[in-house]
Amino acid sequence: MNPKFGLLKKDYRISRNMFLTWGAAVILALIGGIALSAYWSQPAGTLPVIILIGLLHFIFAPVFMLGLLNIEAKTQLWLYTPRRGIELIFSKFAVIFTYQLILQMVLTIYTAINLFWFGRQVYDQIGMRLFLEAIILLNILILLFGFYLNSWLTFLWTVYHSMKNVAKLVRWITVIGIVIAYNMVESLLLSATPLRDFLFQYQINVVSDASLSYQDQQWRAVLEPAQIPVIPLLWYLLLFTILVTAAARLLERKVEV
Amino acid sequence: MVLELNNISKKYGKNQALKHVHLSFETGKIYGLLGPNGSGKSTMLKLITGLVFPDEGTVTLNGEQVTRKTIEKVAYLTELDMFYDAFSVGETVEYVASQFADFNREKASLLLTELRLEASQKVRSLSKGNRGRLKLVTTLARDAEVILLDEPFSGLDPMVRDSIVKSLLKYIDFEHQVLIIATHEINEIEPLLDEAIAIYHGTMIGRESVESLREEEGQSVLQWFKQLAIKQEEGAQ
Repeated sequence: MNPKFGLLKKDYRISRNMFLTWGAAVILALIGGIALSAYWSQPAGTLPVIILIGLLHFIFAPVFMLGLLNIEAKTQLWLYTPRRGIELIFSKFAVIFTYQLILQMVLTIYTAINLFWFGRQVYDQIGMRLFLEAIILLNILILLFGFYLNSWLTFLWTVYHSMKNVAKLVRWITVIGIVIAYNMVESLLLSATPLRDFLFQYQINVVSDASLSYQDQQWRAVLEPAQIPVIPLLWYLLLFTILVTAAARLLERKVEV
Repeated sequence: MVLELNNISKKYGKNQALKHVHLSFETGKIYGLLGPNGSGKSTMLKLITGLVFPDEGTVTLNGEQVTRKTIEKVAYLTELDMFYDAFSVGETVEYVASQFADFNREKASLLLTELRLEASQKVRSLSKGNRGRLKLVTTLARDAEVILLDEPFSGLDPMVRDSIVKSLLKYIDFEHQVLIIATHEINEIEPLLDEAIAIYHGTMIGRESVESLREEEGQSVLQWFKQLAIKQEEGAQ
């Protein structure tokens, strides 16, 4: 068996139960949303469920990664392999990516069912083409943002575990300090008007703003476009690369068993 | 093959695990790292594997500094529980085989039979003894230059311990491999050893050929170790 395939297979096996639990909870919530909306004769009641589950998937990747890393941290013997740190990390990322893709597909189908069938009388009708464009973009954005957060989680986890010989309090202060320092620098840079103007000069429109409005004793789902800046996406992609590379190096050179 | 620890020191927090240790090992021998719990034996094996890093000094294998990559050449049996509960015995063997190019499937199959393990058994349902046997399978099936066993008797039934360990020696290729066993169960290991290395509170306090101990000094390894430990304690007072 190819070593990379071996790693992937291992990561799928150790995460299967976690995925099934999360998946079952999501499906129950989706079914519950339709059941309650039908019971109250308010088909727009599925919108909060869609938004909530959609928002949850922004943090799915880092939460799942933390679960997987903590399984490994019991002994840290996942490091007993000649594979490079980057391969160990990307194996977990690949597993989480497939799980997230499956869950987002389920949510997409659920959204389509609500928009075009179950709630067609109360959801703003945006047409199949616009729906597909918006849903593909939204799915990509959720994945990108989730994996951006995941890169931070992985980096901070390796920082914490590379300081095995240091008191826990100091480790936590370091980790939290890095997050605060980065956010301060980012805020400082964004306060400069020319830079902010540059970052936000290219924007794309996506139907992503959804809200409920109440008219004639009926809740309606209103869908409106929102603007998403392009240049910050490229910056976050670069930051993702830096964080994952740093995490891989720490894993190889500093994290001990 | 030459494996060397040069002036190695390692601390865990305030606890000094190893203090200025110099050691070298060569192919074709069985070395025993002997000492009580917490004496630094496991740390030494992890340093050789590249799983921990020295605070001071260097560990070299064939003249090259040991890094994480060295794991390719070192087979390591840890005292920790090293398997995933979700796996079966067969899947565990497959996983280890996928990660190490020197994994010998034929040896693994023979070892599984000899140690009476079924490929279909779930790891989570294995007894402590059988987990210990599975560790031996995944470690000894590798044709690595260095084989490190950390407390290999742990969990094995005392009634069959001797016979299992002795029979396992046939899986070692002494032309190309060195075997280093860390244990505090000195009596159990004595018949296997070529050289005994005594570790006490992170310091190497003695190194002796087991044959010369027996034939020239008429001592068992345990007696020799106890004498050294007493001297060490008296010296410290």
